[in-house]
Amino acid sequence: MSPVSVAGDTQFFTFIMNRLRKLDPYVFLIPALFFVIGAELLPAGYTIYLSFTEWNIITSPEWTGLSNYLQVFSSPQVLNALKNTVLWVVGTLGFPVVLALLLAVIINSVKLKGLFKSIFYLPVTLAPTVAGVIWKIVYSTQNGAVNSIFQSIGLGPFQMLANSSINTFLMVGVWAWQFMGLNLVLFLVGLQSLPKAPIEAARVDGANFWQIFYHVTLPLLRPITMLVVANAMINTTRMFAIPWVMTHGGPARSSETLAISMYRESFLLSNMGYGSAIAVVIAAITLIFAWRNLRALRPSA
Amino acid sequence: MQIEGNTWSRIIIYSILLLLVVLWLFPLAAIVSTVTKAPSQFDQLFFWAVPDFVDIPSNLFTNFFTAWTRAGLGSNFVNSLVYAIAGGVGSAFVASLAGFALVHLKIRGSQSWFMGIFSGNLFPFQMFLIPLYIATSKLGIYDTRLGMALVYIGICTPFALLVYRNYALTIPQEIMEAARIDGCSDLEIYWRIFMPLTKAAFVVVFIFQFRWTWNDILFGMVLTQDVRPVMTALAKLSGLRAGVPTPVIAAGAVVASAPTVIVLLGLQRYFIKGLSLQTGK
Repeated sequence: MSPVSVAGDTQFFTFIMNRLRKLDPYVFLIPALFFVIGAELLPAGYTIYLSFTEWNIITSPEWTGLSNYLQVFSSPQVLNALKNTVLWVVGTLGFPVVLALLLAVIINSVKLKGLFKSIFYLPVTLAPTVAGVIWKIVYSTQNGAVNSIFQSIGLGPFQMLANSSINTFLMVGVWAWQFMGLNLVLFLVGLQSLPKAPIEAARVDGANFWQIFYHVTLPLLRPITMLVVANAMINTTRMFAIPWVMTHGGPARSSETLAISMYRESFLLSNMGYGSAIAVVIAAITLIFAWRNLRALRPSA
Repeated sequence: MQIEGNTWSRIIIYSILLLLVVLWLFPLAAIVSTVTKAPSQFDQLFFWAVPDFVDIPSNLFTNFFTAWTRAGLGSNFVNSLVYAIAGGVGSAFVASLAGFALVHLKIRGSQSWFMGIFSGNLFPFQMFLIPLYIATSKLGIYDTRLGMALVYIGICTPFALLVYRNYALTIPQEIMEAARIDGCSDLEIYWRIFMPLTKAAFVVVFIFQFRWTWNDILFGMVLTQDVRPVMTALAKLSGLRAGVPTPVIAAGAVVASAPTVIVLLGLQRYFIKGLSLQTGK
């Protein structure tokens, strides 16, 4: 390398360094903006556009106005998926949240706190896909963990996931098993940070365990309950992995959630416009649930 | 708070607890019972039968080996490792730059910038799938590790920024001012002062996004054929009616769980911290 080009390189290097030193503050935002606009905002906008079109991915999208949405709300399959999604959300709110709250109060007051906490937390560390795979073995008709017990006492085997009137409930149970521990840990953190004074006062006044729980602990845990409930609603509205792994939404599309309908319509049946409309419906439901959380992000709140 | 009621309420409470413990451990026991049997034994024996103890090590080895090599989960495992590390580290860096600028540099309307970037988190993933499928195909990064890594970083960025911003707000402005008076540029302040002070945020973001990326099945299904992440591959494996024996699927589920179980149990403290950072309190 000749001395001249070395000097040139040095000059170039100082030039770059000087530019970097005077870096405009907005430059720091560029990577984040690039990724969020590229992977999320533009795609979301395009999906909204596609939801007003009919598109089989080969020809170009054809504007059809609201017809996809009319079809969504008149299709028995999608309405069934909507019903299932509501079941998922309601089941998620009822069972794992209430149970976690009760269990947190119980565990907080018994010996071996850490052991119990770890047992219930263990499934949280697993992926929903793995939970689905495990419970598929549990619910299996042929030599399944549950059916083999029934059969050894002369019952069954029972159809479980193949039974369309109960399969969604069985899978909501899996989801409850999987993430109840997370709620539990959050409630335990909440319980440990509660002020001792009101609880002591209630006890001195002669309140029993359940009275203290209902009248003192519960109101004090309100903020963390709100977080747990909002998270549960938002995550469950887009439930995909567990029903996909366990039943593929079947039999005969009976256990589809909206997220599975969206995948099936878009990527298996090539109805991109229709699939987009389902995606927008999921987004709308999520946004309603997220509204409270969103307001909490404002600086004044 | 102690349980002070009478003996009956004590008995009731402990029986509820015991029942739930059994219920929670039941599926895990089922996996142990499955994975310790050879496929032929699994088909012949009662589900809860325990195989001969001398057979268990070789059964385990065969099941895991088959899952890793013949069922192909080994290469999917490596793919997921690449994606999860890229998603975790990449989004942490991207978010740290933005978080630093939004909190410690004079940016007009920084709250609006924050809300703009964070708004990416409001949409369910279903809103991104079709356009990302088309975009990656057009850009020639469909079914490539690069494409997947970029998508995962993008999906991880809004939440990472929320964590970084909330954490950055707890660092006094004076430290940055002092460095600026000493002649440090913004980039030097970011690298020498901000990054070391926000290590905990980095760990929180890494754990959350490593876990999320590792557990993802959906983007893997839509955006890959060959470079599938491990969860997508596992789901496919368990979906095949014939072919893959149940003990091998169970072994695959165990292998696929190892990284997140280790990371989450080891760094539980940071995981809970991250959850509480979401509320900004």
